[in-house]
Amino acid sequence: MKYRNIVLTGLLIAIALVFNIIEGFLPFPLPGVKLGAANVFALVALVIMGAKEAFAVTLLRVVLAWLITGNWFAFLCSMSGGLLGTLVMVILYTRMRSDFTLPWISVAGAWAFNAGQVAVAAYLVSDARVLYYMMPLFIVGTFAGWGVGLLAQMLCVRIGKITGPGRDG
Amino acid sequence: MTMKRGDRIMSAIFAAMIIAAISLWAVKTYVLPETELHAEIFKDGKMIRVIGLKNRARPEEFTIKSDSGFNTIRVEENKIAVISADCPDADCVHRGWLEHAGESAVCLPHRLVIRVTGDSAVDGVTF
Amino acid sequence: MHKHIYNRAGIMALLVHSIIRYNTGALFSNKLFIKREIYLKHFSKKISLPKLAFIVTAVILSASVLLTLKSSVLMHGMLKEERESFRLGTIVRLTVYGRDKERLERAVNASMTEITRFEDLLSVNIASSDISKINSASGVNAVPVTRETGEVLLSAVKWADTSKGLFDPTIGPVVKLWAIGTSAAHVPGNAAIKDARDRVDYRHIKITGSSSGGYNVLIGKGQSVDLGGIAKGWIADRIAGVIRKHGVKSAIIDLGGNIVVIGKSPRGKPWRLGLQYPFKPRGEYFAVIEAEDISVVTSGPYERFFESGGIRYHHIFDPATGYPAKSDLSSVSVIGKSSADADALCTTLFVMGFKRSAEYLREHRDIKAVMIVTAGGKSRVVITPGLDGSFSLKDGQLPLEVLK
Repeated sequence: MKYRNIVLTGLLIAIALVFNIIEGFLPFPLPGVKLGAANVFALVALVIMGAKEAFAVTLLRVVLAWLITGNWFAFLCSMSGGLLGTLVMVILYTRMRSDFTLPWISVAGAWAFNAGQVAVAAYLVSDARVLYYMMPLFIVGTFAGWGVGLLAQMLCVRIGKITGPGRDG
Repeated sequence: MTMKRGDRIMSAIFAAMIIAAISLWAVKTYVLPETELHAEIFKDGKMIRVIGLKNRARPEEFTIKSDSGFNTIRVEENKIAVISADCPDADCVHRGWLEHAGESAVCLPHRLVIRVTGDSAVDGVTF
Repeated sequence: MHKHIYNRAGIMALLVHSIIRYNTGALFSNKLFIKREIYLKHFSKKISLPKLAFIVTAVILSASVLLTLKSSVLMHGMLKEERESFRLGTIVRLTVYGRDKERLERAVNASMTEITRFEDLLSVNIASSDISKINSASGVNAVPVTRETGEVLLSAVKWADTSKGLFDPTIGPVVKLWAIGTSAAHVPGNAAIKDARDRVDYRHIKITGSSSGGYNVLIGKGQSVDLGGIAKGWIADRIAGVIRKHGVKSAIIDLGGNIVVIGKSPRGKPWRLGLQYPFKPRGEYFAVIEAEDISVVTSGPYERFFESGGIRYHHIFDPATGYPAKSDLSSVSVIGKSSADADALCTTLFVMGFKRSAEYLREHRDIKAVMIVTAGGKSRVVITPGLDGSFSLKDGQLPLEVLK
């Protein structure tokens, strides 16, 4: 791995972690279920460096968040959601880039992230009522994902310019 | 911004989500009957009054007369009770405040029954 | 920008094809051209892909919305007919659900009429009832009774036999002596108690005749029949029959706490019945049973009692001693198809106490029961294994044990 990638990945993980923790303060009926705006940094990593780095950002972000907050319920939800979301974004970006713009790839990632989270939450709590929260979560998550995806698009261009050649954004 | 093919599909799915969420909310709020906490008063087996227990501006007191006496009932926010009566054992008064759905107070001599209904967790209680 | 036009079945085939070949590119590229024409030949309706996505999502979401609201949707338009009355010495409540108001009214009216009829036949407090006639003629002559009275008595005698005398319909003298539940309740002297209990013996009940020809009943001299331990259950079974005959599919019959449910609740889910918390205000429950087309009957020392000299005397007597049964159970509930059987059985189990009840329940594994056992100041709930699933404990403080 190039030094540039390692540094950049670390930077992205750090920012994603901050985002994650700030998200945690948002009032939400379900504890541990997050909006998923932090996923955008995995997307940025994906665009600038590649799938490996994207997964690295997600996995390390989730693990570090767990170490810092000690919330294992959130950890399990974020892990399943994060992996699913990153996977979806990787697939869409690498194979179907011509049909999706970055904001919408972020939205797809957000949907997968939320789906993974809710599924694990419902299983852990053993209460199907968790699914009632799916609707507002998905809708708000869509807006969040889209806005954050637009942010990612701008970021990728800027970072690409600063750090030199990599994949295109 | 210009949307690509995949984007359009996703926005179509999103539009469907929004419509589903709105219709779900609309149905829940307007179409389905609301069950709120209220008390039903039966005299001689017939329902003579229904009193809402929620959103009470101020407490209310009233008396129900029977041929053999009277029962005075007081209603406050989320609760109702018989506060005085002239029946021999005054079981109805001793019953105290009725606060949850399914609870009831009975005055046998005066054939008076007060029952709190609303969204109850059970349909009946064996005794 | 191309606007691809697909037909629905074509899309399905393409998806399957893409998955099999692990090549999603075919979905979005022009390589499709040849295949598209083949599909277009067979199907006429054409919709764009975004529209298709919209329709599919909308269908899936509306289906799930309807499913989650299914119980409330079923409830819409359901009518409820409820009747409450003072009968059988307690409060009787019938609640029937359906969509035909007249049919519901007829069912309820017919039921209330039948309850009155049975009360007139079986009550010890009504001088003209069959039971009172039998008691007046004790030791003298056999009394002709209606078919129903004969059936209840036969059922009671069968249970007396099964319980080896712990449940005894000739408990009348003891009940009358103590007068619990009335203002005359008192602790009788030992001699009076011995005299009363000596007169208790179901084997002296002689029932002759048949259901077609009519029954005649003779009891021993000085004996007295009291059907308190089985009457409510038996009547509840008959009322359930009346209601079903009127075509009602959803109802709750509550005879002073003796409950029979018909069908499911109007929301399409099983009825939820609470089990009374002993010695707490009526309506407070410690557990919930999910029930469908079944009866739940509970017995306990909290139902009727009086206190004298710091001791509580309740209304469930032990025929062997003539005293209220000394039992470590504070509540017994039996769940079963026959309310009469459940009624008699929960009285029997209560008198038996926990140890013997547990043995009995192990021998008769088809019986479903819930008991609260109090030992050394601590209470716990014991249930038969058949109840797992439909039983949920509401009070977290009570330990729960499943009978092995």
